[in-house]
Amino acid sequence: MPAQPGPAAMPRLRHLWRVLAILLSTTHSWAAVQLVRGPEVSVSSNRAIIRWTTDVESGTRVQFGTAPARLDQRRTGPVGTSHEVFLAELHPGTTYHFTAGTARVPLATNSFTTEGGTNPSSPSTHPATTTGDAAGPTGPSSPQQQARPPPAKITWGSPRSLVDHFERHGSDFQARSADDYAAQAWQFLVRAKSDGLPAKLDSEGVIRIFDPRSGAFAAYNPDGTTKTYFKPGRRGYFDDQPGRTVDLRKLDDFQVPR
Amino acid sequence: MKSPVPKTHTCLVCGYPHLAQAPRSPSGGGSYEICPSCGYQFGVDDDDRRITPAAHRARWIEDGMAWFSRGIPAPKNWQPQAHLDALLRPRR
Repeated sequence: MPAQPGPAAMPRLRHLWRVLAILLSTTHSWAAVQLVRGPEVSVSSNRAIIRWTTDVESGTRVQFGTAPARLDQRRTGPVGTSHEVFLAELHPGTTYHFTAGTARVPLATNSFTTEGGTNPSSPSTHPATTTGDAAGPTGPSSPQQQARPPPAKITWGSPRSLVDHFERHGSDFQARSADDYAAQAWQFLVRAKSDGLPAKLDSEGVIRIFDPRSGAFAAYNPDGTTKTYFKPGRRGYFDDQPGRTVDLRKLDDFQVPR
Repeated sequence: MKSPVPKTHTCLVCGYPHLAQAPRSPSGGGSYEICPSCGYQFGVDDDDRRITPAAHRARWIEDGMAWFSRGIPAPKNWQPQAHLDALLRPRR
């Protein structure tokens, strides 16, 4: 007859069951994580931002290095569904290989090359995986896209900050340059005013606009210049923004910069 | 007559004292300004990505407190540690 565990062994067994239960639940959660977008890489001469979206909340980890078999550097981020990792102090003109995923599971493998010394002032964005509406929120043949936008120094609220906004959000719209990104933000405003996209006006005169179809969001100063333009990763983001709902088609005081 | 000195604001993440706008407006909205020092975007990193200022600060420190912006140059004698100390110093 097999020996029964004595009273002294019971706490140990209970602990073992607890560890097993945690392991099983953890295994289930990370096995279920899937990419729903990206990874997309915004890269300049010495810096890269890798972004991706998962279907459920998960950890954030990028392993990277200059050879596929030698991903000897690591960056981590918080738990969430929208993941973003900054890689700083990269070498210009260098190809970096990376995996993006959770602490346990790499969800994607890809590479990018930093800009060389020939044109360091114009960062570029490379979607590692092409997703989203590459033609932009209005589509390629809409009249708004055909309208000629003024230069970014007229349409962007703080021109010195444009590069940073572009590096962070340009890949949401497959923008080819900072100027292209600013132009798309202006076109979004033009379309929002003509189509009456959902909009809010707060007590400081800031206009926030959301396109439920494309997921694009933008905020504009009272003079119509752009504060930012991006695609929120979180449902309900626009709903949570302050301000009262307004019909842009009837808001005559609010003008598009020309 | 002297032109008025533009009012600046302090980053709640890294203590950079020259933000153009307050991180939050009186109505509660984020400024959407990207701190040129640490890269935190108010109204986006917090409201959308749910990255707390403390979490971003920890990562920025871990990454060496590098100047973030490519469009705005770092001030002469920029001292991130001093700004951070001033931000985190207990107020009386």
